Amino acid sequence: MNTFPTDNFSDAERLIFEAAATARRLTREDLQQIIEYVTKAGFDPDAGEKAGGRLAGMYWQGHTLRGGDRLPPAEVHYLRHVVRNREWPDDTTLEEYIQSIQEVILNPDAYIFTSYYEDREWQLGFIAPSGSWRGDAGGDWILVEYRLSTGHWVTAYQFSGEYDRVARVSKRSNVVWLRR
Amino acid sequence: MAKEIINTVRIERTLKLGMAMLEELAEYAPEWDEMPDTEQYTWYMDWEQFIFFLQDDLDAAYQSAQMTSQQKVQYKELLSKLEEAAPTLKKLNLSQSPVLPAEVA
Repeated sequence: MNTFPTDNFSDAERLIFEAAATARRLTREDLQQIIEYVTKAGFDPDAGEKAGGRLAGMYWQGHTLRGGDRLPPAEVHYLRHVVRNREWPDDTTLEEYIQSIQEVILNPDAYIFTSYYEDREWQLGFIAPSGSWRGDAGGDWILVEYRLSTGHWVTAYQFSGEYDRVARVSKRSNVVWLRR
Repeated sequence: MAKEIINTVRIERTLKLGMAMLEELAEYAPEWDEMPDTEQYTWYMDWEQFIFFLQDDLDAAYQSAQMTSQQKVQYKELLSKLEEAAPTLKKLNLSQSPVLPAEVA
């Protein structure tokens, strides 16, 4: 678990890895450095994700989507969670979805945790109240996750109930809370 | 404890989402191991989110008699399809439905 290639890590990435894999205790300044870094990470602009059946038939960017279409992850997650699931207010734009994610990461009261997905991917999660970003079918909380190996956000969605239920899903292990 | 009012938007959303997720599951299961890891992860977390919605929206609405008769029919159909998908869910280590069709009248 500790053989992750860290040579090309930035200081913030190294801090995330050490907090997750070696249980290094972070200072307030360390955590602030991580937060500022992850806020700017965004979804991977060079990756593509399949639209899938959930988005098939939806009109987007001038054409009707098919299940096999591949879109940038930011658009896929926006269309799934904002437009289709109505977790965010109905008039939320893609830019506002991104803004809401950054607000979660920067929220001084956000819960922050690291975890290991299927014993191969280190991730950093942020959980904060959905507040004014809660849509008609939204939840109490917004989860944002960042993946260390890609250096980008991997998902952002809303849920209700206990804030830590997303940290207790079966494929996640080695959960370490950095702030709660 | 006052019962939570589950709005009809959440009930209808989760009923439709469940059917759409099951269709995607049937499509993705044969190629699961070949899926890009990030895509596999986000699908997995979307599935877990759907299971949360199933508990929070549908089961809660059913238990507190907030579903229409039509929604109950759709809910039972969804639970039946989830039961049929149980072997696939187990194989991919995805959460099973916490409710069985027999528990819905």
